[in-house]
Amino acid sequence: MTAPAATLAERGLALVELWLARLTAIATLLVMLVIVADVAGRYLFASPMGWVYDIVSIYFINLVLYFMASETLRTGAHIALDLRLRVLPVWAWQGLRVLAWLAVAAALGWSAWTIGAAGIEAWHAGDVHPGLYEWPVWLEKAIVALGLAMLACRILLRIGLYLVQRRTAGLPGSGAAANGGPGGDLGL
Amino acid sequence: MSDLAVPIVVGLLCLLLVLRIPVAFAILLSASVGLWLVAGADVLTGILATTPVSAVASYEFVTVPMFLLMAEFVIISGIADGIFRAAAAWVGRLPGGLAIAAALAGAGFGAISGSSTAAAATLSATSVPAMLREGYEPRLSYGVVAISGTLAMLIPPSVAMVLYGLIADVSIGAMFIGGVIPGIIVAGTIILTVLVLVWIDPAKAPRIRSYSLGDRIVALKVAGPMVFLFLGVTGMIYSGVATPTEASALGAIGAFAIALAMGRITGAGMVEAAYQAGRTTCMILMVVMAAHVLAYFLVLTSVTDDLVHWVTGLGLPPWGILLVIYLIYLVLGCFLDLAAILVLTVPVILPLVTALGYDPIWFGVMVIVIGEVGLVTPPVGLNVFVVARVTKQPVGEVFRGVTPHVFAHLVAIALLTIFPDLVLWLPRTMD
Repeated sequence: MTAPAATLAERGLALVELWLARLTAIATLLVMLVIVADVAGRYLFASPMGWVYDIVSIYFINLVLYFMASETLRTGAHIALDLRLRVLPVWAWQGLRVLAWLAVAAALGWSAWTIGAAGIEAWHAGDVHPGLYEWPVWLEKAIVALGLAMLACRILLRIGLYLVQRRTAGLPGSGAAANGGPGGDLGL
Repeated sequence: MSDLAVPIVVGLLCLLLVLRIPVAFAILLSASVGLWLVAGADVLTGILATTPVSAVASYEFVTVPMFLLMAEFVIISGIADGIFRAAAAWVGRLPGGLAIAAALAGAGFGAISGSSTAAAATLSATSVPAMLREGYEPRLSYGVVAISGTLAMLIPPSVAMVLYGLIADVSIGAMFIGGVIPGIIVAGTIILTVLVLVWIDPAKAPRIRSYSLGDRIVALKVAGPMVFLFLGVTGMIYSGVATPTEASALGAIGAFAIALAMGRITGAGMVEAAYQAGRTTCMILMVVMAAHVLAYFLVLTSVTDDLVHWVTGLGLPPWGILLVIYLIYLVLGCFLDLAAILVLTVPVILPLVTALGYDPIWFGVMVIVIGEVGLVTPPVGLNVFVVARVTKQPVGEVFRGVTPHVFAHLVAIALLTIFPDLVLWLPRTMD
């Protein structure tokens, strides 16, 4: 990966993340209105909206979790241990972090792949959730698979950017990487 | 290899956390390795293919984004600022009155929002400048604001309580109501600590001018929206009119209506509030999802059962075991966010606590009270960092200011432990 390509990929991914996050934000506002309408319908007019429960539990919660996941990682908002230990040289520390993040990306990528494959199967089979309304199964799997895949891409892209920076900076452990904290330049 | 799976998973989890891999991903990865060791690749693949889809697919989880959205709208509306001004008008004349007003504002903010960091940020922006202007000792001001912000976790509605209720499978409504009396006790503890500090050294908090009765009544205008929101959420849950999930959405739209009535909200502001709520929800639910993968590992290795048998076989009195559990939570609170602590520990510790005869609702409230201490103790102390950032002061100065409150908090914890009915009485009166 070259530096301009990595920067372009970073911009592209950030744009997709931002749009998915905005979509989720609007969905959150809509869900607020829909739940209130359901409560009002139930208590004031004895006419609840039966589909609200399904929409919220099958699709919305997964939408908030997975469409926001990559954006949350990009903005550094995921909960992490705030303990700045450095018991190893910077190059070893960063090497371990790269390995750990690669393993995380592999687990997330594998999960996205299997869920995506299951979603395609559900699409072909026309699987639906049993109940009063027949909600398609493929849609929730697609939401989860897309969110996890974006997350894996975000991690791999940041590792790629980090390695490109290291290569251009020269010797391992030199430059900004050596001056940063244990987590510094990986940007994760 | 499966005999070594537990130490391998624990070791790997610790290593990943120290490497500052986010808690959710550290749990997911270490649990995946453990499942692979114990049950093989096929079982692991099956779990990774299903758990991310089903882990949080529950209607009750919508309570989290709705309460967070409510907190965002409350901040936008500006009524949180008014709570401090109203409290200052009524108690400001007392010794340490503005610091007491900050504690009351923390409790008031907690009654209409479930976010402790939002409470700390709001109080820092409003009450600290007022205290400093009146010649209050800066350390006293920072300390009382940092600790008062934690009340939002305890006084309903509370996102931490929602999370505990979902993990421990106990009534979220009962958790909320169980937090009311402890919330009042902890707020009282903060006020008492201020009074003692000012009694020892009156120079810490000079007396301020008295407000006229007219000023006091005008300041109370903030009480209307606050009472409306508090009754709209906690009142409806207590009376059984609405479930916590319904109340959360009603609370969010109520806060939105207040912000709208006060002319403080725009279309972009609405989306930004929902974005912030969504991001925090994602942060919390990602940990919950990963914990579900870990739960499979715990079940397959019988770690929880083995721990319960081992601890109960030690012959220690229940209060001795409880003390050890408290210490574990105090130490974890120094390093980890409460959401992560709840997800990591409750599935393992709660069976032990209930086996000792303690009530899960009482234990949940206690964990949250102890978690409040974690918000103001080094090295993490999230509220301390928030106060330091907003007031542009060194973190160490805020930590020093909050130290007396930490010790006072431990006294409140002891009180609630000795008299568990302080927590359980009110939930028992619910239908």
